Amino acid sequence: MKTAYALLMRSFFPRFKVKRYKPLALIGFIGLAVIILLTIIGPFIVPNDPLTANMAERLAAPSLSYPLGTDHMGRCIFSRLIIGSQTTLGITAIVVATVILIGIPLGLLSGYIGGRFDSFMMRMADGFIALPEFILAIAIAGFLGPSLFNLMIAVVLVKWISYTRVVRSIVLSEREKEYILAARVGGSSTWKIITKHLLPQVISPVLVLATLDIGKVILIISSLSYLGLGAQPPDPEWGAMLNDGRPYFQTIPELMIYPGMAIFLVVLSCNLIGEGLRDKLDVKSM
Amino acid sequence: MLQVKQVSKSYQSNSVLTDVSFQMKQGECLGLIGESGSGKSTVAKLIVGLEQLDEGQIILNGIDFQSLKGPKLRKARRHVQIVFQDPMASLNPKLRIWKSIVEPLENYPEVVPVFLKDVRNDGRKMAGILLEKVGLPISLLDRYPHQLSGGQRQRVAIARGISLQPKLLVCDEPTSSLDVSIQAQILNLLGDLKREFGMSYLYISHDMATVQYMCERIAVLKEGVLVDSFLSDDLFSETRHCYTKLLVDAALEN
Amino acid sequence: MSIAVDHTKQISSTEEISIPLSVPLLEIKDLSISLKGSKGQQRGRLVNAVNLAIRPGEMLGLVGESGSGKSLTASAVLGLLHESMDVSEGQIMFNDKDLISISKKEMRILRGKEITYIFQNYQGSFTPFIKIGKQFIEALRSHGKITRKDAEKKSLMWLERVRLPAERIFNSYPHELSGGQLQRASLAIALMFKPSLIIADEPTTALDVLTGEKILDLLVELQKELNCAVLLISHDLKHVLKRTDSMAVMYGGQIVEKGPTKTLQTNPTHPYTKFLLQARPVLSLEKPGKLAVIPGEPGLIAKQGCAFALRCPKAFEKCGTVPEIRYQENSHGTACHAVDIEGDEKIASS
Repeated sequence: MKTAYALLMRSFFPRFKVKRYKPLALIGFIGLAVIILLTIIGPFIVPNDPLTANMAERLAAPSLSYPLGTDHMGRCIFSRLIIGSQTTLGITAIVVATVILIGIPLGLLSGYIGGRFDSFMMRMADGFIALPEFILAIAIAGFLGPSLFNLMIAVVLVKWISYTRVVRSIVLSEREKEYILAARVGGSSTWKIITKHLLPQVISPVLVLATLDIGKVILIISSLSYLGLGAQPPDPEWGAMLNDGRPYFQTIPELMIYPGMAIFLVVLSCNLIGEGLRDKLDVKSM
Repeated sequence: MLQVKQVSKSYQSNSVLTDVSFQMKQGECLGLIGESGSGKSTVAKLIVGLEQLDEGQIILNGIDFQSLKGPKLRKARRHVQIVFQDPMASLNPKLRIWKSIVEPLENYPEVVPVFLKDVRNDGRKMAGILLEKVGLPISLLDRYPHQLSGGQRQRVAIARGISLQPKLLVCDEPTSSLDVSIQAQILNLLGDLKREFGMSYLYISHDMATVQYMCERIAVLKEGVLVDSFLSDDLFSETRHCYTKLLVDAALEN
Repeated sequence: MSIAVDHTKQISSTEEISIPLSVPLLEIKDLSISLKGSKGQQRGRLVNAVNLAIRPGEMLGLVGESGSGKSLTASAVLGLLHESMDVSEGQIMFNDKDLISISKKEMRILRGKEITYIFQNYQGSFTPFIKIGKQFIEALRSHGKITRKDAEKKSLMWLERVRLPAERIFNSYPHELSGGQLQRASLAIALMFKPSLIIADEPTTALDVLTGEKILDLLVELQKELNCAVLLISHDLKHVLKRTDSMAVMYGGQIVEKGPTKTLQTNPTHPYTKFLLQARPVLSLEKPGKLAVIPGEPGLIAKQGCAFALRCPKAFEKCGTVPEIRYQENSHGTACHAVDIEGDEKIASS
């Protein structure tokens, strides 16, 4: 990740050094903030209704009324991009939040209580990890049937395990430390030790993991939508838009480039933030 | 006050402690000396309840810990507290130190140590008094552990250890990771606290000189077996176990 | 046997040292070590104008608490300073060669052959997944022409000399040995080149008491046999008092007192040395009620003048300047203004 990122940066800034990316994290923050702002105010600024098809003006070039042109159904691409970000970013946010909310408690319990619960969790984790994330997501989403809700379930099911494992491994190394032992001797309950002593230790690593993961989650969501397993037509969604543009890839590549760029920008911003956070919070080995 | 009776403990198939027995009187300091692997830290963990023993009994003030469960065990446990070796690891790095100090007091709201009588409901004030007891300025209350030096951190750990006014304080190598000048400060502090509160210490160390200085009685642990036990005034006696003599020779300077 | 005396600074040069002076093997002159990139010479100085000398066959102890600069001094001699630091002033003369100005290649040849070392971290002395024997042979062959067979013979002999079951250890991996065995093996690897200087940096700190004692006994015994010099660095005064010929006490990057070990033990003059000697519990029938305590932590180092001034009960205005080492009898030197004044008064009154 880091090398790819450094290479990319070096192609723009020849003297870029991996160490100096505090300002880049800021760029990431600004980028993401702008995108989120657009998502929120989107419905008020879009020039056209993203769902209204106008077959008379299908595949039109950019013009004043259609800033980025129209798609194969004559719908405004610009409007669809802006409105589609609600779906893409909204689902991503829900998925990441759910994954964190599932992963942290399970990891804390699995690591601190151990025993049978832990073995059960870890066997399950092994099962999930044996298959590539993406293939597994396709399988689950395919099995549940194409819909946005099922898509979310599929991504959560694929993702929670890595959070549980990270949290568990931190807990395993912390729980033998003397401050935990001292708390036990001082009469603190298991609940108190988990919430007061262990939870704060896992939050920053999980936050870093999550920001670095947002990019991947967006990609999975878009890819599944691209395969027709996510957002259903005519709802706009970046991955689905990519899919819509596919037949015209040779003649009108913009149809795929616009949603592709949108995905790229969000993923890049999130990774910039994630790497900045990782440095700032001094979280190792991620 | 404390009776350890024929205690044995093993991990998997490795026997760590075999048939260890000793007793302590109120206000006494017993030194437990041994090298790494002798099982001395396991003794500490058994007494404070961090490990379960396989065989034997640990009796505090006539109460057998093994016979208790739940709230009663918890109540009995508060009379035994511990100070660990590594002051870096013994404080939660994310908590301000006053919170670490008063944590045991939060857990046992019914316990009111004499010296905290008037401020029992105010965590910061209690922590302040405890800090003074261990010779640290109150200005450190809101610091984080990494902002303190090793010696200061060990004092904070001691403040937490005495916060419930325990009958027995187990000190597991409390000075072995500290510099000589800090060691002197901590040893003097432990001496003062013992006089003030009439606490007993189980002082665990590998250093004969420190143990002899701190304790009235010494027990020597070798490979999980208690090989020798004597008054520290009899340290140089001819009747000492040969292993004890070896340790004494190593600690002599000339 | 004694540490070197800088004759220009010696007051009582008439009182000559009973042991014939030989040329020092290693002479550290005005050594200062600073953090790289720190502007201004006073800031960031970790070791400040240290003078030390070791004669052939001598065992010199260097004592100090954490942050005293004792290990940095040793690293500088070995040319193993961390890349963020460098020697900002001074010389390290080893057999008429200045170790600071020689090339890295020359240093590498010297290190491991003429100057060898044992560290606290005995695990680090050996590469994990290579058998001990192979590592011995490679070390031997990298420092001179020797056939594989001879190298094996020599390795086995040295393993035996450090009282290890040679054959078995030779065919073992490092992780199969105990800490004591590994430290013995690193002693063997350090000694088999018959170096003229061994630097032992806290060699027993990570070991058990009895194991550590045995290692040091062995070191002393083999040192006598090979007549090599040893620089023993330790935070444990006991080891140094027990085994060294002479010693130096460091505080905050400065040497505060040095001289024959016996003299320092019975007649320390610097407040810090006195305090170090009294602060630790010593095995005896009469226990002191309290240990001597000087306030503050070892890290409390005055930025200017005497490093110990902030913790020193005898500090006065003059301690804002760095005291020079003044020698009393028998090459026993102390860097302390207060001691100087007391000494002057004594001379005046007599």
